[in-house]
Amino acid sequence: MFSIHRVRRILRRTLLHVYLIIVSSFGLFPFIWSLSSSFKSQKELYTTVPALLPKKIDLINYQYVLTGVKGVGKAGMGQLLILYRNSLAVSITSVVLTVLIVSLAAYAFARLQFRGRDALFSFFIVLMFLPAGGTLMAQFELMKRLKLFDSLVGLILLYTGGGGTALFLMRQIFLGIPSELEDAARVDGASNLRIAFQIMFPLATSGMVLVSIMHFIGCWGEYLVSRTMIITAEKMTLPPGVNTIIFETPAAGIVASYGVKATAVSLMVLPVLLLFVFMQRWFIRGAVEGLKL
Amino acid sequence: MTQAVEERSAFRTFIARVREARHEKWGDLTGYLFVAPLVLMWLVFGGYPYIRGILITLQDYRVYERPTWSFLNSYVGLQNFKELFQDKYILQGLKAAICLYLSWFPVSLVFSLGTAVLLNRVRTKWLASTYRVLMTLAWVIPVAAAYPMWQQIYEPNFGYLNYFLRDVIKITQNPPSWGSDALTYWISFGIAAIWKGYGYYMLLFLIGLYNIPKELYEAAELDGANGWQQFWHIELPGIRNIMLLFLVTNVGFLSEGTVQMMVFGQGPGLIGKTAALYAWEQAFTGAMRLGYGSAINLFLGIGNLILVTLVFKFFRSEKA
Repeated sequence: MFSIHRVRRILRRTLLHVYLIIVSSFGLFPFIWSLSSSFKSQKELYTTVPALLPKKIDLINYQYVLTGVKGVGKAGMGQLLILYRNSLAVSITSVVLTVLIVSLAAYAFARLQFRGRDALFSFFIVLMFLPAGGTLMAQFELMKRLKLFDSLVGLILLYTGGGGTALFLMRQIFLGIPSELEDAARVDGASNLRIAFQIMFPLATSGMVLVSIMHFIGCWGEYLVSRTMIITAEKMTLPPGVNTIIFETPAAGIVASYGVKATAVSLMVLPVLLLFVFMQRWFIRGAVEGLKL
Repeated sequence: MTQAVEERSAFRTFIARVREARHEKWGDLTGYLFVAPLVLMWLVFGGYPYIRGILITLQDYRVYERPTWSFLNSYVGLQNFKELFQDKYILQGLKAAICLYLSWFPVSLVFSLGTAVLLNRVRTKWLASTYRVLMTLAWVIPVAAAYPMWQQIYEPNFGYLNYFLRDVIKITQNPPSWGSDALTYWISFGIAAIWKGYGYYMLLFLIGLYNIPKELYEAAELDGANGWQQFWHIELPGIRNIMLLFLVTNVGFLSEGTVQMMVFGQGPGLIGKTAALYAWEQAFTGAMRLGYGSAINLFLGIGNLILVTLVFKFFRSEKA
């Protein structure tokens, strides 16, 4: 016999899942739509009864953004690959540098005793909340002066310079590691550098992965600095790059701007999406440890 | 010979004593070595531009007009600030920033908190993590891709949304043109912004909920507390700090909207031109007035700082 109580519980559970499924699909929908548009031909894109899935898979948009289409000229040719290369180079270099720099500093802030430590750390945290004023404008001037304007190296340096959130997270992670191992190593006469690299860093992997993913996502999607500092098409990164005229209005009548934009956007999103899906377990673990406020 | 040994050992103790004294005063010197890369990078690419950026606000800096711009050769005092108080675009820009904020913030807070609380009740592990991943996907998608995606959905003739309204659920035969109509512009932006942010905020709240000790729930269940009571008496107080983080990081809305508006489009009659975007345009397009652009940014930043301080104050008085 079903009691009323039990029926209500089952009903409530079903409602809960219906709600969560709707919300999840809301999250996924724009990406699906964009992906599906990228496989549609011009004819299919410009109908007033758009289907969620393409009726016939047409690769012309991909051909256009990746290799170029005959008779269209060189407009779209390879530009996306160039953007891809630039974005990858900038993001990966910056991630490696940032993780190294931030981990070293966070370890020192968490575990080493030196004068002015806590003041320095609070300084970096307070910085996050100070009004920025003309920082971007001054960075523009600085880059011009260092001859790093319109250069990917300059962009990497600007991306690597900051990092209050990452510093805070990593410090929390190091504080959460029990100090017995470290003390034992110290008694054995290991240097701080060795303790950091051989004992502490391996134990803090979850935090480092978290910081890496966050920083990679941040660099991959960064728009404003890149838009301001890079003006040559061959040196652009993806976010400003796919919003340039090449992808907005492709010259010919063979490809549709709607489809080209959808393709460029989907290809830009794909790497971070995959990275996140595969690394999300690490991500949550690191965040739960780092955000014990 | 014994004297030499004695001298050497005296010297050694002396060195040891100096080291000890140094250690007492400065602590572990490797600490400085460890923070040096971070501090140096910050000094060059963060700290210096920060201070220089405030000085620029006092200059009439127009990139093309002169080859070099020292602080003194173009010092104009508070001229830039005087100008911005008379600039009608600033007022419009502030209006746009408020619209932008209202278009997503209130709904997003309720929506993401509610979803987090509900998701936290799902006990099946793989199901919970599947939901979680699907919901956070939008956060990972770069801003520069997210808003163009929505513009494609909003496209009046060939976009999915109007097709959905017209032919699938048949609500209206004359659907609005969303992003390109002044009436629906902020609603369409808001939906996109909520979509972009809710996953992240949900995750943030969820992490806060994960950190609440299980014993509290067990105790509440023993006392026969229902779902609502658990929410009000355990979960809401338990994520207080996360809530503070959420509010503090989002309350500074005055300088928001540069990138979003660049990639979403500023709408009909440029109603979406926020003050921050206007500042960027002043500094990096046309005459490239770095000084004026910086002054606007600083003005907005100080406004934000006041808002953040108010939130902190409010939270502290709540606690007492």
